[in-house]
Amino acid sequence: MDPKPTDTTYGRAAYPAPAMRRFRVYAFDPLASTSLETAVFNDAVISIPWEEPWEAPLEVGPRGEYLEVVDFDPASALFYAPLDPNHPLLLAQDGLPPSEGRPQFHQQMVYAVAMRTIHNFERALGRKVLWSPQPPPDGDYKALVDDGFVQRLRLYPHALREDNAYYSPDKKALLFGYFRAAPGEGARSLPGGWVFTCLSHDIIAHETTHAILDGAHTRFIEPSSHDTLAFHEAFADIIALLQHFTMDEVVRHQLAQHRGGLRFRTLLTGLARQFGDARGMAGSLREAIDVTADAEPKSGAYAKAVEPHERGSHLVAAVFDAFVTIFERRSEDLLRLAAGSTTPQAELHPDLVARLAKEASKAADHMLRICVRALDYVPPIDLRFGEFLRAMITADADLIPDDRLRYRIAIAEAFRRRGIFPQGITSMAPDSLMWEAPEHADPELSVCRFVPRPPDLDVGARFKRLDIWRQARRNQAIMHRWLVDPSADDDKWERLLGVKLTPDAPKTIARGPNGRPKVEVHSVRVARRAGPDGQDLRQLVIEVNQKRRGFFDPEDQAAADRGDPRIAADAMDFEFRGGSTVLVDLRDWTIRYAIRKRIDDDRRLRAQRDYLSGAAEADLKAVYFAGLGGKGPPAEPFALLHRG
Amino acid sequence: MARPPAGADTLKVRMYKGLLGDCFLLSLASGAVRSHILIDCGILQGIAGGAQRMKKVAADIVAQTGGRLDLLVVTHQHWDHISGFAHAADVFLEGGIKIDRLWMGWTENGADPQAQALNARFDKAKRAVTAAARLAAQLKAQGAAVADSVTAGLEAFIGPIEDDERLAAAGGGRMTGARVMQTLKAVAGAVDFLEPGQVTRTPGPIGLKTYVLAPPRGENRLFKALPSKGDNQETYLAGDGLALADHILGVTDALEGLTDPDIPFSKRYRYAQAEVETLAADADGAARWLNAEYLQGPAWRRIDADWLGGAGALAMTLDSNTNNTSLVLAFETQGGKVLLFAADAQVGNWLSWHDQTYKTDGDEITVDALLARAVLYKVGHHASHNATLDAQGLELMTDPALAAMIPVVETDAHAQGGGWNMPFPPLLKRLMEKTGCRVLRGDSPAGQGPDNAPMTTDAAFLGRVRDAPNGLFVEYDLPSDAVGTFGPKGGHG
Repeated sequence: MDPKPTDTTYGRAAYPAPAMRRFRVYAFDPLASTSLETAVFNDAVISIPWEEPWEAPLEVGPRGEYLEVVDFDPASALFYAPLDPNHPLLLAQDGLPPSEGRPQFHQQMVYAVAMRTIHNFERALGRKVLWSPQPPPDGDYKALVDDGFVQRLRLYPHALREDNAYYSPDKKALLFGYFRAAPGEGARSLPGGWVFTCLSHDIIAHETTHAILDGAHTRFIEPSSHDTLAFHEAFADIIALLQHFTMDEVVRHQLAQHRGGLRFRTLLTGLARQFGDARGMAGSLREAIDVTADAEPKSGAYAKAVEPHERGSHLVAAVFDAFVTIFERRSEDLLRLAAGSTTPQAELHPDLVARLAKEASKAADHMLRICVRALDYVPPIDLRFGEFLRAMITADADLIPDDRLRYRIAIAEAFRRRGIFPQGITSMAPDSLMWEAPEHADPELSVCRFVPRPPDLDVGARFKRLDIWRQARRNQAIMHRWLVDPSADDDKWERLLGVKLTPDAPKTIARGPNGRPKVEVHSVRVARRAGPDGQDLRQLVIEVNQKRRGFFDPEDQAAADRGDPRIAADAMDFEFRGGSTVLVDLRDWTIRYAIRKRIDDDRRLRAQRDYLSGAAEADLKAVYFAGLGGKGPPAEPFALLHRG
Repeated sequence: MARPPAGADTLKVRMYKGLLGDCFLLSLASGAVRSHILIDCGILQGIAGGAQRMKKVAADIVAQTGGRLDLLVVTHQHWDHISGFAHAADVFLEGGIKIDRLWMGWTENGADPQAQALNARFDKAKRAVTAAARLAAQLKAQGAAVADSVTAGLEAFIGPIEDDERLAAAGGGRMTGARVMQTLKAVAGAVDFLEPGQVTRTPGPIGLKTYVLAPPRGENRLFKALPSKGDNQETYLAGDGLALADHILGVTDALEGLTDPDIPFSKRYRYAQAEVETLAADADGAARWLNAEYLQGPAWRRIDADWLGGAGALAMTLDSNTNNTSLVLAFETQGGKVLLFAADAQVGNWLSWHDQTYKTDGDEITVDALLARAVLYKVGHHASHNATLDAQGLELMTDPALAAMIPVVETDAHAQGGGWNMPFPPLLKRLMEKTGCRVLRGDSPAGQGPDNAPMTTDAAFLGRVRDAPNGLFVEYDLPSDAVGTFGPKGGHG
């Protein structure tokens, strides 16, 4: 009889579960295995934590707690058999060996890389990754079970026959394409050879990040400025890039080659090299390094860029620049120590390379965590790059007050060099970049407190993702009731939250059954984080937002805001949102920050109007597919983005 | 030059209304002498009563012209510009009206190598889009969730798809765009294929000097639908979608058994869809797992048709590339004023007008000089967002007498898949400003907007505008000082 690997006993005593599951993958993509120089480290192993007892066990598919791989290839009318990750032959050899010709290896790699990406997020965020809810069938929210909880993101490794891969928010799925290479002059790909996007570490990590980000910030898909879609792209690229540095062998090899420097365009700094190569580009699809050596980046390039990937590349370059600066600071002593015993021509000592690699991976890990943690410190809608900078700085300062290695200056400096500035700050010094506590800006707001606490609000620890989901949904309802309940301080809460709560709000904001403006509490979550010096940060993150009907014509806007009967009550050209992210310190229930975008900010309304008018020029698809004006996101926002 | 007596000669522009599509009749008169020029004749595919309406339009054209056109201009091969020729085939294709001369862009010249190459590209893309649309329809019929974005608007713009090529070859089947163009070339007395930069004269007893602004020869212009996005945009774009067309055609050919399927994995890894669907008694665990997970799993997560989504993007590209082949003409009156007919020109086409100068009477002028004298602008592409250039287009039209005609039906445009934003509000607003509200729309009475709100109170303008009592057209008499006096019959430049 076949031994069943899920049986943990033989005799009386249970075997201990392994700490990690190991899966073989390509460190980059199959192309790197075709050259002698890079093949040595391209066979890599990804370790992900073994399932906890309360998690769904990993089964055939692979299908686990977070992900399910379903290998249907509709363009070929074919299915491919699922991988059994628990088969003893596979358990004993870290899964299938890398192979382009075996679809089960594709399933294994797509699963492993996506899991690693999820794991990295969870470590940084201090809570579980949840997917965004299932769209209600025909708009009927009542038809959803558990408010549309989606346990698993679906991965379709062979869904498309084109040079594209995307996250589908409607299907909660990643669709990967494959295609025949059409390489240009001097490219390394085999002309006409197959290229699988599901075998590219970077593409998998990028698309998984889209899904995770959508799970945390559903409104970030809505295009309200050039920065919004660009942020999604940039963030996904940042995660994919920084994950390169978790692959020790690769990092060591590249550091040895470049004598400990990271400011060179290498395998580590390029994204999706095979994909780019096969499409006839010179090198990678995208690059993290915008300028080499000591040159200054082109100032103003960011302000002019409108295509989402291109605009996003400036944010990617800024984060990567900051990371390299931090790495250099962390490793300068090592290089100084070594300087005496080596000549500039000699290869670095392998021990030194190993130590440098350790510093690089540590710096990358820190940077990744800073970026991910910042997601709790951004406004819930209409995010700008400058606000992300402020979020990074604030999140980091909260957890690590003593910035001995001056990470925050490195970050601010890298953004400044690329002309990415937040609005309304006095300087680019880290302390001016931090979000302000609300009562600092406006002492009257000190009356806004969660004292007494909203009754029944539950901030206890949960482990199962469904329980966490249910808890969050309950808390959202409780917090919503608490907010819409009239109080004497409503005018101050309005100022704090950036939304309208009182009946005299513009008529373009829909009213609830009690005649007061509708507000949405779209997230209430508990985050716990531990800092390096034992800091324990427990926060409640509340996201509040509100809709207002927007009009291209300012006179129509004014009329509709007044409730002029000549404008139909449901008419609009676009949706305008306001709201805030409120961070509550769970130790004393004070409001640390209220990061808001006011619903009554007419300057921002004008900016969005201009963007949507101009965006039409920049994006034909907006007209044909979406009905211009952002009446709703297009059916597959990422598919279009990626199809260019 | 002496001023001619007012009212001696006239130039009327009749815009047929109620069409999301173009049809313009220019009538020139000097005493008893008449010349008639028809520019395009079409309505978008799939609009209720479209064929009937086009028949009425054709009948009116016959009545107005006495059954003879001095010139027919066909700007480009899009159904909303040519379907009328098919709907009223008896008039246009079978001799009901005599077409003395036909003007088309060089892109329609079958003997031109660049045109051949261009059309071969378009044909391939069109076949791929057609194949994808057909597959999507099949999948939909089988109950698969097919996003409208896959098929929306594909057929509407391209026109009827050549669904049975053998039938078409035998002369049967539906009338397609390509066949309309072919037939027109055959029935016209003579055909001219115009080149950008050419300066010529409309044929007939009285004519107008004509500047040919486009279609451009440069591929960077032809394939440019949108404004530049920055210096390294090429980094992100996968060409013009021809590779995708190859993919789709390869796949559909394989599905129809025309070629071997192009599958990267060897047979031992494959489970045919049918095998997983029917699940024989001896089906193995993998087939059962796939059946349970995918076929019995939640329908909302299935991806049966998503791979066809690329066809939507391809259709967009094809559509705007075809728009960029628009023949764009600037007619000059004896009064030195200009009538600009921009067809559906998009960004690249507009930009190309500035690429050349125009040689006339020993003089050489730029398009800026022509735009500055424009008194009538036929708004490009039904006033969509990317078919009127601002700084290098509309802002150069500075004549105080400027008026605009928009062949659009807003409700029809909004009813299209995804909702087409025509007319594009910011553009409409600017047109109103530039023309002092002298804007005539295809979907509202002269001088009014679609909501019946008055658009202009310019009495002199309104005095020169007539709505047909049956709503079939609106006619605009150009101001007599703008028209000037028609000279003697001119040659063909």
